[in-house]
Amino acid sequence: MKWLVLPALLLALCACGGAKKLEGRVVQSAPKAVEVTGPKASPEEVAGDVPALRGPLDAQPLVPPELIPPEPPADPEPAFD
Amino acid sequence: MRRITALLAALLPVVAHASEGGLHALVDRLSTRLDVALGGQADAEHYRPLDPPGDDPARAVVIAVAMGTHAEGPNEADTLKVKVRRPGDGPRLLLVDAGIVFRGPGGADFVALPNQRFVLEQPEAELALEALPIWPDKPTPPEGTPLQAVRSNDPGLIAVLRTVQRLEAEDAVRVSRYVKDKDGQLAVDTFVDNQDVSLARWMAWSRDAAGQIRGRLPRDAVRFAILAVTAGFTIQETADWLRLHRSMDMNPGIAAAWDVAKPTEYILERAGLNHRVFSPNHALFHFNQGVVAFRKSDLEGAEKYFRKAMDLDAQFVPARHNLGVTLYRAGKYDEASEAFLMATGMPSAGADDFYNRGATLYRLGDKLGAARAFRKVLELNPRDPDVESWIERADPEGRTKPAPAKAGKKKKGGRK
Repeated sequence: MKWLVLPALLLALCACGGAKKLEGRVVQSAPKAVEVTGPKASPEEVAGDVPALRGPLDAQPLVPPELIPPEPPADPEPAFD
Repeated sequence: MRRITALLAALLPVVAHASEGGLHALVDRLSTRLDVALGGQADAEHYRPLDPPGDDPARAVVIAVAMGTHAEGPNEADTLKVKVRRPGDGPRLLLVDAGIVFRGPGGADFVALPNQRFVLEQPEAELALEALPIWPDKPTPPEGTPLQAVRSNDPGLIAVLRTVQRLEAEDAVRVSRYVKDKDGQLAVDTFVDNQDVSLARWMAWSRDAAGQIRGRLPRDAVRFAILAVTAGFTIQETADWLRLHRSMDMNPGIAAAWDVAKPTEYILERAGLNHRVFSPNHALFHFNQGVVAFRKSDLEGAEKYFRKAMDLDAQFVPARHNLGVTLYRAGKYDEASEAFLMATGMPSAGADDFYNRGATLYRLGDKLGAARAFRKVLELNPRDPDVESWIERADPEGRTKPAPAKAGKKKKGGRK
């Protein structure tokens, strides 16, 4: 009878929305990749009773991406005169 | 120009019987366009593979690189043993330019200090190149470990190395006028106090083979400028590195970090980088530290950093914005409202500053004040996705429509 247990479990999972739960996990993992850190929004903001505050501005990098060309410039020719 | 003349003077004995082709034919460059017979694996994030050695028989070829001696004290660099095959018969001058990276095992990668010069007199020569590691915590490989060459993919690193090259090759000539020879010792001797004199004081001065004065930046300043762009070093990490690698106690380590901070910042500034993130002399340093503290949910620490940033630069709107966010998250809504009020009083305030001011006022119950702030958001960003619905909720009767109401009054008055 043990061989019946696994298929029965799978059927039960499908019947009670197992696939949806899997989708839910994928969606939940997405914010972790974005690294949402710091204090969370208050319950009133989450509930939509008050406007959700817009988060802090991010740290400024040492190397501003717009200032430095990705390709290094050519070596200058040696000057002798 | 005097530097080149001096170099040529040093080379004259060997140049006299050099092959034809002019002076340019006597010079090779160890750079990102290095001709090498060895290549390393490159990862797309940091490095690119080198081009295969060219067919140009007039260019020197690097045929082997190995780890040399380790730096032993402050302002010293590691050395790499580089075996070079000289092209042609005559002697050649080899210049080291910026950008080539030599990769060791375990990610111990080194970059040659720019502006080094060697005369290749023999068909094959082993050179001792001064080099610095580009990652802070990788173990230095033992002497003789083979290294491979790749091209750096890091624009910040390239910018720093080229700046070092420029400072030592060009600026050093300009500021050498402040250097005097006292009993064979070269030292800066002037009552003038400006940035050039500071640069002259930071540099180590010596005479080359032709007797000309040469200035070199302190190796530690270059080291920490490199680590700033590759590993995000600030003065804090610099002090930690000094304590770990130089076995310094806390206070001497911090003092040494401060000593090296100014020339390091100068290199970063001259490289066109955001040098103000490096030391606590600048508001931006405290701002960035505040962001880090906020991300760790250390609201008390974040508040202190943002307030310090505002003390140093009262016009720095992002610090006021983030202070407001921090205070709001700490439940200090009145103080948050004040911070956003100050932020929105600055000429460079943006839509998010006004939005947060409105959000804070809304929470405090000042719905009309919130609506006025939200209307300002619409002025600055008519496509703001949220603000219109909050205007509706804060001011359903439209009592805060200032501009149309005033225009209407004037028109009404005119009609009367």
